[in-house]
Order: sequence, then structure tokens, then C-alpha cells
Amino acid sequence: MKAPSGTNDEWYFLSGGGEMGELIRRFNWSGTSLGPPGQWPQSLRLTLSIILSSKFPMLLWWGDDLVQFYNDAYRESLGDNGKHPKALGQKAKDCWPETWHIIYPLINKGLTRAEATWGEDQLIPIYRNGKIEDVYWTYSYSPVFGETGNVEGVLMVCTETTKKVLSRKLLEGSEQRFRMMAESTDIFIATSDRSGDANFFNKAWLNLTGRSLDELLQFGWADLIHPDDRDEFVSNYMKANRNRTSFKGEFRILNKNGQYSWLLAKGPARFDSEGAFVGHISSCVDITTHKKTEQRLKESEQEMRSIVESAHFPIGVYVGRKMKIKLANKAMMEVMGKGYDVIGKSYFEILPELGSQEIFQKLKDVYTSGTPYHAVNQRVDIFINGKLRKHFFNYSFTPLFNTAGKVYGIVNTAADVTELNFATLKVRESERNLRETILQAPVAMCIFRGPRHVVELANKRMFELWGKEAEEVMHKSIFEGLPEAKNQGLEILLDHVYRTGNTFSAQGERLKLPRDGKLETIYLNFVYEAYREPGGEISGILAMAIDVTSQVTTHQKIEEVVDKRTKQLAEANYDLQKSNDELAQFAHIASHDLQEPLRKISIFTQLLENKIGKAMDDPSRDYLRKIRKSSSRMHKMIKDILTYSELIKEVKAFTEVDLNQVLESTIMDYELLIEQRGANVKYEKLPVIIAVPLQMSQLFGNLMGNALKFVHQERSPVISISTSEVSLTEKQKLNLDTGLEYVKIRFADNGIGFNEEYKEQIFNIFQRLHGKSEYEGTGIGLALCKKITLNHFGGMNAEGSSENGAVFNIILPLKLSEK
Amino acid sequence: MKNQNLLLIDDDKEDQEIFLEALVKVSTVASCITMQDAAVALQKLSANDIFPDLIFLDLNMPGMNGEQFLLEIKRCEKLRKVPVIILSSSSHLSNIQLSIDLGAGHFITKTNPYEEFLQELSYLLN
Repeated sequence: MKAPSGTNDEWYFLSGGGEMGELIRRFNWSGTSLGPPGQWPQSLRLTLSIILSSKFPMLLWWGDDLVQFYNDAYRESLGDNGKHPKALGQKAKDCWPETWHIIYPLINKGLTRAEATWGEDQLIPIYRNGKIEDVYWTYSYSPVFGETGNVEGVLMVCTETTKKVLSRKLLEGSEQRFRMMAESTDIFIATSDRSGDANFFNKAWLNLTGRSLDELLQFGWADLIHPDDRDEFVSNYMKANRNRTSFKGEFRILNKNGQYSWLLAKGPARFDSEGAFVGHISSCVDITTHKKTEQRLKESEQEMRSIVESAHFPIGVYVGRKMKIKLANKAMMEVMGKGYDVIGKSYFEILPELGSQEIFQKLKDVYTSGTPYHAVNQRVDIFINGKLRKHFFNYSFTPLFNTAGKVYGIVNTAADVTELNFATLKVRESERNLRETILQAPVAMCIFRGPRHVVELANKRMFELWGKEAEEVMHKSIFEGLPEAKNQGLEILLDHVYRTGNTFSAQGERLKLPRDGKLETIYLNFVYEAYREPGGEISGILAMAIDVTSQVTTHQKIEEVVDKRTKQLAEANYDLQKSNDELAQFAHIASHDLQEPLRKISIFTQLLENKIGKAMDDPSRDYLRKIRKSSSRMHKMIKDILTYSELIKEVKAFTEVDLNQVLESTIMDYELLIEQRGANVKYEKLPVIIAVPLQMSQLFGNLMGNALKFVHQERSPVISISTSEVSLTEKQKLNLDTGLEYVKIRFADNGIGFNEEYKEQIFNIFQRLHGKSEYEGTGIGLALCKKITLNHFGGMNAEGSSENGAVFNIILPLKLSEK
Repeated sequence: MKNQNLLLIDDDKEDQEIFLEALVKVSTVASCITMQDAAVALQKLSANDIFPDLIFLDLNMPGMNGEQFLLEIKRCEKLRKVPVIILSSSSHLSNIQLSIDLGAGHFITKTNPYEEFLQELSYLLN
């Protein structure tokens, strides 16, 4: 062995190369036909340097002996306990005796023909790991040229594909077995690829559907699924495909006979050896028969259940000796009164209260004997909501036999007749009450029965009303017993009520009925009401009547009188109104026209007096004076009447009036007189009100005039005018609008006054308390004042005493009501 | 001296007479033209045939009545300023109101006592 360390330049091409590099460097090459490395041709050196630096398995044969070199990558395929490390530097023929017949032609081809060879997944057995192993290779044998231009060696580049080949072979085997199995079974088998497309259907599928494989593969399988099942199944399947999970489902598929077969499908997801999803494999079995049976069973059970459930009378099915409640409809559960959770429980448990009522024994008897038991209107007391209640039932216990003819259960049907029992009693009672009521009633009452209105029952008052004896009308059609009632419209009314059940009532209906053998007009209030049986059907008419003849005739008389009086009153009212208007008009015209001649009489009298006054004797002068005085007086009266009449028909022009101004101008008008009488006029500030200005002037003027006229001879006159508010009670007392504000103006003097008893009279027109010679006046002034205050929606009153003078209170609203 | 040339328009001859009697009593200088027809009076006034200081006017007259006359005279620029005293047998409030509204300066009711009439007339002229 030669140490490589000293000959570095000699081994430069063998630097590196891992384990094999080291081995090559250590190898005693002198013993080979190649000689020491220093003598190796350049082409060998170059090739070796490529091999050692490659990670791909490579083996080189060189020279006539085909001396071998290989790299670390190749060394692995030699395994342990085999050709390594002997193979290095060995002659090929010595190394590969077991496969020389395979290898040599390939090497030779490279050597002699300078041709490369390619082999894929080729079986070339090799001795390694202590035994001959079948190893598959993919390889290339390529010639290596030397400097001479001849092929000096052959380079093998290879990779071991044993694993790949074996797994493929395994798959192929299983695929074939699968196909064989699939084709020979009745189970419907199909496979799909990873994208979900079907890629296989077995013969069973083709037989079932009568379609070709191609048709089914073109997604035809989905088209054959029953429309009701298709969407759900296909979406299930697609979902399993997406999620790479298995699927399961039932569906109907159109078979070659044009009918649907029920299939149960199971489809696990398929994965290859590497764990990659490759699709689904589905297997289906025909479950049509099973399905049909199931369906029929379901239907018949459903039918029976629904019959029981929908029955309005109670039904229960109890099975076994313990009478377990297998079925109980709502009606039965309600009868039991123990809630709706009774199924599966024992009848004995649910209704313990029946134990003492011999019902358990009856059930047991039926169960043992197989003889049905029927009960009619039997009392059964049941606890409902904790209270024992009395019930009456018609019920049956009917045995149920199994196929072997043995009793296995009991059908219990029942009808609750409790209410019917009570109702019958009640109907009888209420009918008796009604008859009693009719006979005792303080009004005329009767019952007509049937469409002919036969008198079935009538009280005394009714006979009186009809004007008949009982035996004349009882149990006959009313129009037979009381022919006088015919053709007065009653037939239609009775028929209508009998037919429709609508109650008819009349007030003050005019009828002719017999009284002492003669027909008389009478007036009735009456009601026809349908008489119904407990079931609601109309069987007759209940009639009630009250004779209101006297009330009606009295009422008619009163109405006549009232009518007449009302008419008279209206006429009188109209006349009065007319005469009032005429009077006012007359007063105005008369007084106006009367003034003219009077005025002239007065003036010409005066002129005459002026002219010949001095030449006149005393009696003549006195006549003239009387003429003048009379005409003056008449003139005043006419003027006052005129004023008063104008007040009546005045068109009121209300406006704001400052009463201070009115009072001041009044004082000014009377300035002379005030001065003459030495009167003291005191006044407070007055309000501004809404009024007719001229009427206010007249009002103040009259009062001022009166105060200055009726002065007391022994005291100098004091006239005081003051104001105050009007309280609510005062308003109510004076009948004023409580919603308005009023002012009270107190006009007081210290004159002669008047006796308290005249305080109302003094407001009458032409009322005078004093002689004309004492005090002048027409007696209209205060009447005028009162009229003015009334025109202004106010009022006026007087307080008087002979000692202290007179007080006049004027009450006027500040503003008028908007009404 | 003013208010001395008077014009009395009144259809009633007797009233004219009474007025003139009264006038003589209260004034020695006043002169009065009387007319029975308001329309004629208006015409003469418009034509400047007469130019009174003061007009006494009856209301209730046939033809043109006092109110119409008053309305016309107050419409006329030239005559508007001449004071008009209503002299009426009416004491009807609405008549008085209307006259005042139409521009009458004063309202004398004929029906007042003769003495009062004299007083009023005297007051107006002096």
C-alpha cells in the first residue's frame, strides 16, 4: 500500500470524493493493469474527477480488464455484506458473475460501437446484504474516449428504482383484483377521480340502468337519480369530493325498466400510497324492497294513528297485563285529565281512582276472557286538577288479538255524556221556568208552535188582549182561533220570525181586535222572538204584547192640543212682533210728523205774544201762555217718544267711548244750570268702554238732568259719580255674562230722593212720582236710561230714600262678548 | 264782522219766515238770502252769483235734499270752507251723525223751544 500523502501532485485529480475518494487514493493500483495513478491517461483522470465529485451514482469501467471505479452515491446501491469494497479496482467480469450476461452486452456495445445505452426500470439482480436481490434500475451506459480517440472505458450512470417499480406492480395487482371483484358482484360499484368525475361503473351498474359505461361516465348517472333525491345526493357527493371525506346516502335511480330502484350508497374517499386524494369509490346496494316494506308499514301505522288521533271521541290502546298505554288520542287524554304525558305509562298508574270503581277488574276480565265489555251512561269519577269529578260515560273495552289468537291488549273507546245528562236536566228545568214565567207575566205572553203558529201556551192577559176565551184559541193556529187578526200584516211578521229567527218588535202598532163582539182599534207594543230547541232549531215563536191604546190615544190628544196651541202661539207671536214693529214705526213717524205743526203753533203763538203782548188784556195773555205751555209740553213728550222709539230700532254703532269725555261734555252742557243751582259735581276717573257714543251722552245727560232737577230745597245739591268693579256674585244676581268685565257707575245725589217702594216703577215709561207743577218732565228719562244700559248688555237699578237722595247704579260691560 | 251774509235753504216757507223773524231779533246787521230749492242754491253758489258767509240748510227737502247738497258743497274746492249749519226738524241721531260726518259745522234742531233757537242763532252770529 502506498501512502498518497507524499505524492500530492500525483493525486490531484483524486482530491475529495468522500469515502470512495479515500479508498481510491489508498488503493494499490500497481497491481492492476492500469498501473499507478501517475501513469493514468488524462481522460481517465478527468472522468474520475467528474465521478468523484458527482452526487449521482456512477460506475466506470476502464481499460481492457474493465477495472472498476465508483463513487459514494453508487456505493449505496451495493448494500452491506456484498460487493463493496471489493468491487473497487476489481475487474468487471469478476465482480458481476451473476449478471454478467446482462451487463456485458451493454458494456460491450459502448466499447465496441461507441454507442450509449438507456434502460429504464430494468431488473438487474445484485448480490448484496448477504443475498441476491431483485433490483430495478434506470441506467445509461456511455463510452469514454481516451486520448487516442478510441473508447477506453464505459461510464454507467444509474439510479435504483426498485421501490417505485415494486409499488407500481403492487398497485397494478390490486387494481386488477378490484376490477375482478367489482365486475363479479351484485353490489353497484363505481369510482371517481379527484375532480369528482366518475371513471368506473361496474357491470351491476350497467345491468341496473341499462346504460352503457360511456353514458354513465358522461355524468349520466346523476340524470338517472329521481328528481326529488337528485339535488341532495349530488350536492352531498360534491361536498364529500371537495372535503375529501366519505359520503353516504339513499336515493332512487331510474332502472332499465323505467322504474325507480332505491339504492343505499356508501362512498369512502380514496387515497394513494403517498396519502394523496385520488377520488371516491362508491358501493351501493338495492334497498327497494326494504324501502317499500318500510313505507307500507309507516303508512298503515300512520293511517291508524291518524284515525285514532283525529277521532273526536276518546280512544286508547293498552297492551300487556299491566295495561301499558300504547296509544291515546287527545280526547282520551283529556278525559283522563292527567296531562298529555301518559304514553308508555300503565293505565292503573295513571288512573288509580278507578281501582275502587271496579273498572280495573273489568279491564282484567276482558284481557283474560277475550270478551269485550260495553258500558252505557255509567258514572265514573275521575280526578281532574286534583278534584274528583262526576262523569257519565258510554265506554267499551275491546280485546286485541295477536296472530296467535291470544289477547295482547285492549282498545278503549269512550263517550263523555256528562254534559248531555246535565243539559237535558237543565233544558227541562228552564222550559218549566219559562212556562211558569209566561203564565205569571204581568204582560200578555204566549207561545206559538210550528209553522202554523198554533197557540201552545198563553196567559190570561193574552186572552184578554185577543178578546177571546181560552178554549176558542188554544191548540189552534192563531189565525184560526182569532180570524179577526187576519190580513193586518201579522202573518208575514210571524212567518218571517219563524223562518229567520230575527226578533221583531213594534211600538204602538195599530190593530183591530174584537172587543165585546165588535172590532175595535187598539194600539200594541209587541215583540215576536224565535223559540228555539236546545239544538238551536226554531220550533215556535214567543210573543209578548202590551196594550198601549189609552197611552196612544191620550198622547194623540195631547199632541193635537199642543199642535193647536203652538200654532196659536206662533200666530200671536207673529202678530205681537208685527204690532211691536208697527208701534215703533208709528211712534217714530207720528212723533216726527206731529212735531212740525206743534212747533209752528208754539212759535207763532210766541210771535203773536211778542207782537201784541202789551196790548193784550190779562185773560187773553193767560190763554196765550196756556197755549204756549201746552204746546211746549206736548213737544217735549213727542220728542221723548221719538227718542225712545229710536232706541228700540237703533242700529248700534259700538265703538270705544271714553266715559270721562262724555261726563265732562255733559257737565259742560249743564254748566249754566249747575251754576244756577250752586251744585257741586264730584267725579272719579271713569273707564273707556265699548259703547254707542250718543247713547252714552243721553244716559249721562238724563241722569245729570234728573239730579239737577230733583234738588232738595234745604241743602245745596251735591252730585257724586264713582265707579267700582262688579263682583261675580253680583253678576250672577243681575243675570250678567260672568265671562265679561263690568264697571258699575254710581250716580248719587242728595236731592229729594224717592220712596224705596218705587225703585222698580220709576223705570217704567211715563212713570212720574211728582206733580207736573212741582217738577217738569215727561216720565221717559229713566226708562230711556234703563233701555240704554240694556242695549249695552248691562243693567241699571236705583236705591232711594226720601232723606238721603237718590242713587242710580249703571252697570256696563268694558268690552262686548265676542258672541 | 263776519257771518253776516247768510243763505237759508229750506223748502218750508213758514220755517223761512220763522228764521227771518228770529234773525231780526238777534242781529241788526245780518242779511239773509232764502232759497227753497237746494239744487238752484248749489248752482248759484257754483256760479258765484252769491257768496254767503254761512249757510243754513234744511235736510228734508224735495228734489235735492240737504245731505246731497252738503256732499256736493264739500266736494267743491271753492265752497268747501263755507260753514254749513244744519237746520232740521229731525232730531234723529243718525241724521245728526251723518251731517257731522259730511262736514256740517253745527246742527240746530227746529223742534227745540223758540228761545233756545234764538240763543243758538245769536251765539252763531255774534
